[in-house]
Amino acid sequence: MELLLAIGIGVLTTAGVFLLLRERTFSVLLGLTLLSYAVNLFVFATGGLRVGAPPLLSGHVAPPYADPLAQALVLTAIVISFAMTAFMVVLAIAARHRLGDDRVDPPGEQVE
Amino acid sequence: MCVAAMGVVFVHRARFAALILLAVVGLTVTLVFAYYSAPDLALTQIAVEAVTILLLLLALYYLPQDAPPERAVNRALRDFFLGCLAGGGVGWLTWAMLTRPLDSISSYFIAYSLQQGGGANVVNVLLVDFRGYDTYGEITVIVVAALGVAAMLAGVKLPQRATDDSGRPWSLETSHLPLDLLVRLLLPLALLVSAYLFLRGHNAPGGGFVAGLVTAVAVALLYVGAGLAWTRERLKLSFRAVAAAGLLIAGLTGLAAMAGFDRPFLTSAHGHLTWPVIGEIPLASAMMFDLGVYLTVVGATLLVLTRLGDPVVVPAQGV
Amino acid sequence: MNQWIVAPVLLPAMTAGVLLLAGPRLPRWLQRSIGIFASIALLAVAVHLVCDANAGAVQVYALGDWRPPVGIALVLDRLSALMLLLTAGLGLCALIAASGGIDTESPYFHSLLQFQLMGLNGAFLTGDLFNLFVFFEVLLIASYCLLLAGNTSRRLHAGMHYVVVNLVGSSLFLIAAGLLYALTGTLNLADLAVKLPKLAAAEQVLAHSAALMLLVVFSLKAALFPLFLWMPPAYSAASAPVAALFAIMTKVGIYSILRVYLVVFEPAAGPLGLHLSNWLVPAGLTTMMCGAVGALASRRLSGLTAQLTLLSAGTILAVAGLATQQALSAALFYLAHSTLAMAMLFLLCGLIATGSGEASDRLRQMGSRQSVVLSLLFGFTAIIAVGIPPLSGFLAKLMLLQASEQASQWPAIWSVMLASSLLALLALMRAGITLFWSVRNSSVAVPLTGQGPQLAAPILLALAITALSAGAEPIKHFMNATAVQMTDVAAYTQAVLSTPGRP
Repeated sequence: MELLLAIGIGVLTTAGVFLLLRERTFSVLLGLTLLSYAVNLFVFATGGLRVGAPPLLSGHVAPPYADPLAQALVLTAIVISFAMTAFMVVLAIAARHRLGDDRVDPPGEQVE
Repeated sequence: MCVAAMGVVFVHRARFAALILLAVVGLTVTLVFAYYSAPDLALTQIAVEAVTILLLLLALYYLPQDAPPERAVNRALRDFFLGCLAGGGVGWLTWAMLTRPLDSISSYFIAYSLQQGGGANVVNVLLVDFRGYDTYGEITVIVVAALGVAAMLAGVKLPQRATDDSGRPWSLETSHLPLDLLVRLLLPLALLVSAYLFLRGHNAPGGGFVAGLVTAVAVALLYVGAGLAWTRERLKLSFRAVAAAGLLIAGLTGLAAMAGFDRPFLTSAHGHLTWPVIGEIPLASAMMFDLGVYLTVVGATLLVLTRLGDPVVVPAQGV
Repeated sequence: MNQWIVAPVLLPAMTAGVLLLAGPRLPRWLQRSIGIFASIALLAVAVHLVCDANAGAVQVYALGDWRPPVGIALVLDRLSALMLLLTAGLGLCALIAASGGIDTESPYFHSLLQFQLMGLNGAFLTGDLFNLFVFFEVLLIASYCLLLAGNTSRRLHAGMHYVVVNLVGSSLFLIAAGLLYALTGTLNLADLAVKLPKLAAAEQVLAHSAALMLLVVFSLKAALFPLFLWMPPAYSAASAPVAALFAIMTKVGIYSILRVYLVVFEPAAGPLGLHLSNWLVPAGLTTMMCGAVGALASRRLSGLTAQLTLLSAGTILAVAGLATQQALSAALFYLAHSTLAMAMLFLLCGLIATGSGEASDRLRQMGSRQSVVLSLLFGFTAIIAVGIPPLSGFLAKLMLLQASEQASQWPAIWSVMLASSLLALLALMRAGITLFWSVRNSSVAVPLTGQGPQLAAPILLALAITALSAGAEPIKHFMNATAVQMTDVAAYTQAVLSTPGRP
């Protein structure tokens, strides 16, 4: 099971990084989203994988629980990535509108 | 999930299809969370997923629907190699990590969540109490991102498009009757669900974020279904102010501990309220903090969605 | 427990919240006044904290009254206090300069600036790795918004690169933090320092990977070779007050490297010791050369300044990488000096750009004469930036050279430092001559009217630098004490882990 998840995270990262290095902003957006899924899963996995033991102390579930700190960290990470993605999407739109095309490196740009 | 991820790569030029595959990947992630005992995460992931796809769809409206094939094969190979390197590295790390035992400070959280934090949902107690300072930073990020979006869109007049890339005309109607009715019926229900999620967050899966996202999506649907003009007339709320209020409430809750009790920022307290008929209700001051979080999420998300979905009507010139 | 420790984060946060609630319709003079008032208050708090920290002990603030490592801790020692002071000072100057008119570019400028200060201060104060990540994000997103204010094509383009690069960096940060958590079960820096050496050998490899990843992330932020290409376009595209504030952003990366490495991965900690000097010194030296050459090649004054910022970041890390107390002390003095100098230069770019109209700050022959005040300020800045006696630039460079005397790499360090100073001098001289001397029509002068606030800010900075030069002796003592404290990891961990609190 751990191996499957590791492979899954690896594949997500590969796809994410590949798309990230593409020329078009939309591909970059797709890549970033995939990469953030991969990283979130990774941080979640740091707590160890446990089935059927959510950290709820209401008496229905018996210890040992799944790791709540890893989950809290992932929640924070999900929300922050969401904010960044939203920002990046609008940046891509505004850039396209301003610069005329949606490539990350418009041709003819000089380094000053 | 792997298939979907690779699929996204291969069809990334056919953007609409890529989006659908992305949604599939996101759903799989949600399932992983749910399976491995993280109900809060699964809830949040699916809510965030919904809004993210919505945003990317809006992006698709303004960006070209398809991308021309990229000519440099060498570059693609190099990028693929880099991708494999990164993926392999992360995959190896994951596997190495998962095959080790873990002894973490989480045991403290589990032990003290109920007696000291006043809540049975340890993850939520972590977010609004033990590590509330992290959450405070996080809601700041949300608000600033929304501000950035608003500022960027204020300076840009986005053209309303007559047709999409394949020549299919976009509908210019602002309100569709069936959707309209549906949404108007759903909104009170959604708000109820949202309140439920919020109130039970401290002891069961739920909490400020998810509740906030549900409310935001419901209100956004109202805009979509009933039309911008109709909703604007009735909902004269400044989302920026809502978000700001959220931030201030969260901050003030933390400050109250400092000012009133000479305790550090964000010290929480909890007790029980006894109401005549209902009986004892456990209450935690962290709930005020969660309220701040809720308001921030609602305000910021709606600020982004409403600004994006509002194109200035400029006749498109074959854009 | 010192409640003032959390003030540098709360004060800007609440100010930003209030400004935001009132909204962009609040009269501009009121926004400016609130912002400036809050920044002055922040500066006062920072000064107070520096005096506090100077008493010697490492002070810890347990947020939520949860004792570390269960809760998040804020740590105030001399280093964080120093960074807070620099941030507050720079924030005030940037705000004053922006009040001259740049703040109309964005409807939320003043809130954004306060949020930026909040993020910076939070990063400098935290003692928790994940919290560092969160506040990195706060300061990053605020910087994106400030950079993009005004929506010009140049900024959108530079912004795109800046954002993408930093998003990748954030992902890497998360992976490293997750890995360290998996290995040790904690996120608190002091606790990590205690637990990491106890890991088994096989796990040391994983810890090494995490440490390297963190180095990459922080080097990215600090604009260290080879991860610096994003910096010059981004910093030169930003408006002048924003760029001046960005002068402290690279210092966040430098601070993080120093803090995390000295505390957590300390060289003395047995096999985990990651001998900083092996990595930092060559990278720093290369960065210096890139910056110096880039400065010569720049066609805009703002580009030149960005390259010089690169140069200074490289210098700080090259010497700090030696990790001796003398080196750290010298690097810190230079850090304070160069941050102020670069900020001043950026602000001057703005003044020159406003005066030249369409030519902006391009290094081209001017149509008319710039004002005397401006040229004097430029001369002053050039002197301090390059390091000509008797001002703080010279003192700082001297300290750096002295500190690296004992190191084995001293030939490389000395030659690169002197060569890059020479190149910087050439670049600045050329810029100065082009902008101020070789004027086509010297009878016509560019008036400086209406630029009061924008002029006030660099003058304030000039005063600060003069104070730094005049008060070099006591300041040097402070830096020495800071360096001693930085290398005393036992005191840090002891202070953090013995803080009282629930449970």
